[in-house]
Amino acid sequence: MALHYEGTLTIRAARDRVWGFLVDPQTLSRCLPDVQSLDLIEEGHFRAVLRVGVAFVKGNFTFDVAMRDLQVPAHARISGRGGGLGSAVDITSTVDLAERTDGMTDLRWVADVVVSGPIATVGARLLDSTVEKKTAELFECLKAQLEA
Amino acid sequence: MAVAHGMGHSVKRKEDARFIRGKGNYIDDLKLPGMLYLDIVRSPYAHAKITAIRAEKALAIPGVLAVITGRDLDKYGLAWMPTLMSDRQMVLPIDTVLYQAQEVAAVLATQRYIAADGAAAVEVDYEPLPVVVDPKKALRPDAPVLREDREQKTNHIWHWEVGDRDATARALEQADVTVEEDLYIPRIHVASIETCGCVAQWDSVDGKLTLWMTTQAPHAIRTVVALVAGHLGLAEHKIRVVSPDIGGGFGGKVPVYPGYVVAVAASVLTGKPVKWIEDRMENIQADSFARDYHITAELGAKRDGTLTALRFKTIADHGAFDAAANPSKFPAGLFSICTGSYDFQSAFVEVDGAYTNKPPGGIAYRCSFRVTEASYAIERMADIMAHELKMDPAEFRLKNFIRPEAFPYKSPLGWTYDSGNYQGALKKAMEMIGYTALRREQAEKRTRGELMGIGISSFTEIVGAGPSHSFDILGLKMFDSAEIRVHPTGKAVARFGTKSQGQGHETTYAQVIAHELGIPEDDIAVEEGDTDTAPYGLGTYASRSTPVAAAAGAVAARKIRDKARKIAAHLLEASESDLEWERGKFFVKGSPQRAKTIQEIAFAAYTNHPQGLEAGLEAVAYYDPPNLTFPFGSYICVVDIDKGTGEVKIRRFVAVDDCGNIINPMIVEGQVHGGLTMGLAPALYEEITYDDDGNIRGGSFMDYLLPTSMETPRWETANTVTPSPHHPLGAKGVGESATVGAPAAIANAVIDAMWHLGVRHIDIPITPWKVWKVLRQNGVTE
Repeated sequence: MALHYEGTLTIRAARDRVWGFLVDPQTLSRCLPDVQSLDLIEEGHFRAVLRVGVAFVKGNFTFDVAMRDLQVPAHARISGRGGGLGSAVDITSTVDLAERTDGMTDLRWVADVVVSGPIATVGARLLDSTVEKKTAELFECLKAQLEA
Repeated sequence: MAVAHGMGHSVKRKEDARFIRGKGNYIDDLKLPGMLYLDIVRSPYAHAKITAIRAEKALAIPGVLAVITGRDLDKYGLAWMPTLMSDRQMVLPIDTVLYQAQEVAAVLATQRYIAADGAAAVEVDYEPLPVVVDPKKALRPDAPVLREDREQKTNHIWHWEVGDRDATARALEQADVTVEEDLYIPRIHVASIETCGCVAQWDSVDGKLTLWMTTQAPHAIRTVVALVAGHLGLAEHKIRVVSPDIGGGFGGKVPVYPGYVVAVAASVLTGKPVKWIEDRMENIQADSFARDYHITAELGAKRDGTLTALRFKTIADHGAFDAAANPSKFPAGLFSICTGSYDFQSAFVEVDGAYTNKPPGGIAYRCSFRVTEASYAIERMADIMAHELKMDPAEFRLKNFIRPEAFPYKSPLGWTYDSGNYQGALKKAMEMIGYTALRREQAEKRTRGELMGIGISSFTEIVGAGPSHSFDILGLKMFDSAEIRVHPTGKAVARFGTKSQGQGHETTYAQVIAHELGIPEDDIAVEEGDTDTAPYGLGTYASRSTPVAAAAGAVAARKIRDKARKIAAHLLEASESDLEWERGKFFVKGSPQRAKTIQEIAFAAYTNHPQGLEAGLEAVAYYDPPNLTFPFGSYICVVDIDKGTGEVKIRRFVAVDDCGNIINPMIVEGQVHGGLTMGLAPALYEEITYDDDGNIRGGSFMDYLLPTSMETPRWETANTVTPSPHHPLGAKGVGESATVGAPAAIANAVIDAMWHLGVRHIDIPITPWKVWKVLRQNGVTE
């Protein structure tokens, strides 16, 4: 099933700092849900094992994440393909950062998520709300980390 | 003392003694020393290239012995297998998956849960490909071709048509009134209590394979295994297929699933017994489905209400492989029974099969080879036409039924109906339910704005496949068989080529023999399902056991009776022609005290047989039916609809069935009760759908709604009896009648409640949400 999400948020931090946080897997992973392990494969390409749960389906997912089309420090396309529990998740997202006159940064993001397998079939009705919740948590975390 | 009851008695089911005590012997009860366990890795994608399968992490788990892939099987020529419909199907894929939950690899381990852990640890890389789940889109020229292995680069599988195309077109043009409707009969699943599974045991010393398996057709499976794996040294005399007690089949245990094949291969390779048992989600998501017919139906009639023409155009969604189990000459099964109980001048039906990215199949589901689809379509359309003509649906049916004196009746689509009295069944149902009073009540309620509907379904089935001149599966003619041995003490063992999955054969077959020979049912052991002992037969599905195998039982019993007459004449020192048969004994005409019982005759057959006659008392019969049988019935359903919620409440449901002469009324009633509940299910609850990416929706009992006793109304059942003129016992078969007849009765009742609002049709399952939306569109509810 295909899901589409987008949103904007304003972070009380300079754009360079937000950029640096986002493109560094070590800092970004602090805000990903339940990271079990993180391996950097090359610059802009890492593999993370996350613990994911939808409804009563819970387990480890391996995500292969690549950052492309980097326009430092304004735009990035992040794609992730993950698998686990006999299911698959494909994420394509873009992030755009804009400097504000007050020194804060506007972050606009768009994400398309395609979910296949038991997570989509068993958790279909709960999937949307789960992804929305996890996304909200991710950006709350981002704000908290960057504004600290 | 044991009594021979014979036909027409509600003899208690002999098999229930073990079932109700929990002493049944199902496949998962079988445990062999050193047995290994198989579990299967399944695809999350509905269509994808497999770029890598990594087994290292799975093999690192203690107890995991092997990870088997399509490439491994390919070395032995086993990556593909033939389906029962002249198509082929992947056992395990080499590089492409075609539906979600398709088998990708298998893990062999020392314990069941280690095998499952191993399956979870196998890593597979996929490149997703475009998914087609709608068969209409699959047939468009721009659709991606799903089956690259086929020569024909199209998703079109076959075209099948019957009837007079031109005459039907003319008749529809000339009709005073025509109606047309698109009817979708959704994909559903048999959802038997027991899932599928097997234990394969290869004896490397004898070179013998024993395969205990959840199959409705053990003999055909033995032959298929011999044909598919002959090149590996498996010969048919060294293959034994045993079908133990089966917890419901309904057609879902006719096909061969990849798990069976992998288990056999794994046992041959390891020399150890291998067990494979599906879990519930695997069973629903990957096993053969039923229905999935997209029908455009048209009827023509004269102004006076006489039906004249029928034309059905259908697209059949078969999923990724055509793994249906229809007789080979009938790719759409017996769908051409769709003229139903009515006397049409002309009819034309065509069906096109299509591949999609969904699990394969198109099996029956208690539907006698697509008879459910046919009956639902004609009965829905009959109601639509009656309403269009502003005629009472009962009156409309009575006007158009084939007359009782018209049998044997030749239908415009080529069948010869054996016998029927459709008026009798409908009138009985109308009387039972109080039809006239209900119509009055409905009219009154309508003035108050209340929604009440009355639905009729007067179906005609076609069962008992089938005559060898036109019926075969993979070339195997669809006869069936019985072998009866009467022991010296007058007890008997009887073996059949069919296999009960709950139908009660141990009782009904014993009654048939008791009826013919007078040996008490308690003295007859009925056995099925072991290919080493039972005579060859095509198995139990499509309501064929009574029409074909029970007929074989009767014929075999009559052969024994003929021999018994010779022995009795010898014992009574009378001529054969002077003897008369009364159930259980021969006596000399005019001297009833000079008699020999069948038990005395049996003893003599082994101790004092006449010279010139072979000793022993046994017979085998292979019965090739001269025609199919045509059970029928009329069902009437009354519903009340909650305008606020759209919920349909079945107030009453009367079912009058006619299955010819009845062997066991209690078992017939049980079959009808079960069948009605299985007809209620797709009418109001069950459906498997897929999203655009091919994700199954309805793949577990969390989402696939089966009715329980809470949803099931009280069924009121009755029978009329119109014997089959060609069946040795005058019987017809009843296992599927109710499943075939019920959905249209319920759907017709719902539409009948709303026709005055302008509602013509709602596709099943008729959920509260669908009804509520229609009511809201029509301003009935907020």
